[in-house]
Amino acid sequence: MRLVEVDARVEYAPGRTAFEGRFEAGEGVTVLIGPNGAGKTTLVHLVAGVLPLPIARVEGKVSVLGANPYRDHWVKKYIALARQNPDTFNVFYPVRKLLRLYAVLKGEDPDAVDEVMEKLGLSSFADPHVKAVNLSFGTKRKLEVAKLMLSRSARVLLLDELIGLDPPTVRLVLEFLRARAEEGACVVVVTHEPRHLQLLSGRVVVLRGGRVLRVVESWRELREYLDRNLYEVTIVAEGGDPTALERVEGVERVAVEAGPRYVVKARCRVAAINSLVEALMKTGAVIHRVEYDEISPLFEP
Amino acid sequence: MRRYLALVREALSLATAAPVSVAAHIAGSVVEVAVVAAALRAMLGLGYASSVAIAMIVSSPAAAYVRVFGFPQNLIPEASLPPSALRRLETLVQLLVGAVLSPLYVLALTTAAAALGVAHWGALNPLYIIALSIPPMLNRSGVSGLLEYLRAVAMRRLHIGYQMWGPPATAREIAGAFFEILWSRVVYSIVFTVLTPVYYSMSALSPWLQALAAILNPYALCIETARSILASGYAPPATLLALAALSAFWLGVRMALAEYVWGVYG
Repeated sequence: MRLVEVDARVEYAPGRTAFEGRFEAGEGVTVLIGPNGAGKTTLVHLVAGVLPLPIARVEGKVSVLGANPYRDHWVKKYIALARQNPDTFNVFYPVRKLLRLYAVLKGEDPDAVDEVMEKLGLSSFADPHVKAVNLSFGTKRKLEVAKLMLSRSARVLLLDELIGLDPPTVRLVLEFLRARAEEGACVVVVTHEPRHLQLLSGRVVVLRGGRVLRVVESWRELREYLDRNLYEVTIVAEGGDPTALERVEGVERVAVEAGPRYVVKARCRVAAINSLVEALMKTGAVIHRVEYDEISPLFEP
Repeated sequence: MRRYLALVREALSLATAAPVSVAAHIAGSVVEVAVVAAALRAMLGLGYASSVAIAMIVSSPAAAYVRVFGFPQNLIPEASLPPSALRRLETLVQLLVGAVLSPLYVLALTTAAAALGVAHWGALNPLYIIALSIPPMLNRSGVSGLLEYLRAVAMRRLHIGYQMWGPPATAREIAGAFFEILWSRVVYSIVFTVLTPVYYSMSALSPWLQALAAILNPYALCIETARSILASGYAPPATLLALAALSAFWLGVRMALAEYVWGVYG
């Protein structure tokens, strides 16, 4: 069942399209990935109905639960957005009162605020003398997450990035989102982190240049897609015999930059990376670092 | 309805000022008014009452908003209520706070002025205190909101001005920038400077200009009424009625334009 349907074009300045095309999302998790400027935040804000219309020109259709979020304001009760930029909290209001105000604006129970703050480890900020504007970026990002948790009626949850959050909070948020998805909510997460793709294991929508480049329906399909690609791998090692790597299966090219601590640059499939490392270690090499960009092949047309 | 009441309750809890803060603001304002009145008297040769009246009216709306309430801008489009309803609610909360604080402020100022022998003791009449404190608050943003709205409509109709932040880049933006400057420098100056009876009494103007000033400038009639109350301890009922009607009119304009005009945090 499609909960979100977009077929629209957004531009912030004449001739500069920030997003154009179709996007659909149903129950479960949809992950949006793409390089900076791909249109991920624009798409999430478009769905949430928060684009500033006099500035952003929107043409086409945006439908959430069959309603237009720019006209049918009631539907916002069922949409929750955690913004990437926590500007919302750059105000001189006490944190707890601000979250209570948010809950009432969404038609939710303001008394749930204390529970959510405790869950996110924000109880120490409940003091009325603690003003939101004085909090760190990471804590303000936690408040954005608190907005999602307070929106208990939401059927569409939008999380624009997990940046600024500590690992336990990221774990907590991902668990929360997975649970909401299992209950039938539509969860859309923007991320740059490959491990989040695996942890969320949902549909992956790749954006580039303001358009949907490809849609991968499951984590397994994504893995298969990535496994078919060749990666540029850099291994920083010391000792052993790097020439042994040329005989490893699945490796297309190996180049060694000399030195006591040498650099091996190889082009191979993802499955061959472990074999490369093992082969090098067998020759007595000490491995210092292995680097490869797992996600970039997805952005290539 | 219950939802709106809950919102007002939460908003009021955000807007409530600490009593010490209110007292500090009032004390500061008394000094401010004394300084401005002395300056007006010394520089422009205005009478005591005129100087105090103008100084009070100029700073009175600020006193009504010791701690201004405004919804955080990002939360408005996220709410499940129409932005115009939230803007109206925002104004209502500001008025509720102002209705409590503004008369206190004017009472303190008038008492100080009367004790110094500047103002007539009759000015301490509760009706006059309300007449001096409430209208500036109700008039606030009505005219500027209307001017902003008309500017936006004109720019849309003329197809000028797009992304007006930063330096203009296209011919359309240059035309928009020129229009903006013309509008803010000329129209605003006429309304808020030429038609403001700070340096003269309204009776010095022709009847047409008097009517224009009273209708277009939200503070013109306020200043005239305050002058009259402080100087003689009396204001004609017809003037008070006209002031009440004008205040209601500009508050109506402000409410009607709620969707188009940014709030105090905009």
